[in-house]
Amino acid sequence: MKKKILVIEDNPMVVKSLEFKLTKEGYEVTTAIDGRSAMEELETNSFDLILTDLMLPFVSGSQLIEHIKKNYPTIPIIVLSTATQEDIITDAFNMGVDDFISKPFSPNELTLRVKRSLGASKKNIHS
Amino acid sequence: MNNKKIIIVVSNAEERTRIKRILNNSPFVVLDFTDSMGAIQWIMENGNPQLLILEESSSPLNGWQTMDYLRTELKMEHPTLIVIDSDTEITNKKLQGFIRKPFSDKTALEIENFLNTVELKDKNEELVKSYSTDYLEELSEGSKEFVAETLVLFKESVSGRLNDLKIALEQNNFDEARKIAHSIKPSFQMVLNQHGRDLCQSMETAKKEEELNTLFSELNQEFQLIETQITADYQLDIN
Repeated sequence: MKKKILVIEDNPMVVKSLEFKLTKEGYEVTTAIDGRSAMEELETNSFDLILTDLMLPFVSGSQLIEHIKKNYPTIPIIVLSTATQEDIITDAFNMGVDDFISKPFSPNELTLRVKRSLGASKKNIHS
Repeated sequence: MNNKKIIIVVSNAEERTRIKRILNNSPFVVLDFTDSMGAIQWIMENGNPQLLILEESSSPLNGWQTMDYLRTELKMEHPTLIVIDSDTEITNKKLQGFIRKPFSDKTALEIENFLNTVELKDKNEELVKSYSTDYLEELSEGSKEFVAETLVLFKESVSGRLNDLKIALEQNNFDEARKIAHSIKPSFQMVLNQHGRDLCQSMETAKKEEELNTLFSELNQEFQLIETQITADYQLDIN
């Protein structure tokens, strides 16, 4: 069965690129352009991994991460960030995110980090 | 000042005088020759003129042969107009441009238009590419469809967000303006436009209102430059 990934990002070019690359890698991708619609997706579907931006309309990245960690603690989160957001990334790690990828992402790096996060999540569930 | 010269090869003295008179008020120095060898000799000694006007029936080499000789043997490229008779049919693919006899005031206009076209083409070729598809190609493993679709998306989405950015600045909503700049920064990065990326970055951290307005104006110009080049390269029409 295909692994399901939720991409939460408001830049349509980044969304398209992630969707293209991840679909090609064999994942099932759902996208949400803001925190509010991401929460709706999480309520109605199950996901194996979340890739999320931190600066989102309506619901901030921190609020969203807090919500996910509280309600869906087993889903690993990879933060999509820009290189200049060190403070925000540190805060996100403190809140329990698993990894981060800089935008625009390196295609190979994306593949590796997604695999790693999904692998780690499987291990955690089994242990 | 060699590049400000026009070389004319026309065998008939009366016609030669007429075209020289027509070009008398132009900003060029007009050098006339009765045969093509004289013109070739001059170019070999003095370098590139701005324009060559070669009579099709010139001798010893005709207009086409002269043009070919300069290009292939001497490796010299010049904008070249071939002078043809009023009833000559044009079929030669190597033709850059032509004017017809008899020479008249219309001839001056034709020459001017030709030079403007050549100048415009040169300028376009000189323009440094403001974007690259290298990243998108790498990401999609060379999918032309993906690249084209993403470029359309770049044009549509950034254009819309720049409009939002303009409104945010007009309403003195600077936090929103900074957020939008942050949000479109990856778009410029994905088409490998470093200047656009830097402008977005500066907007994110700009403290003063005037600074934000200036940066926005520059970002808008950069976007328009990319947009124009994408449209020209891909013949994209999103409107």
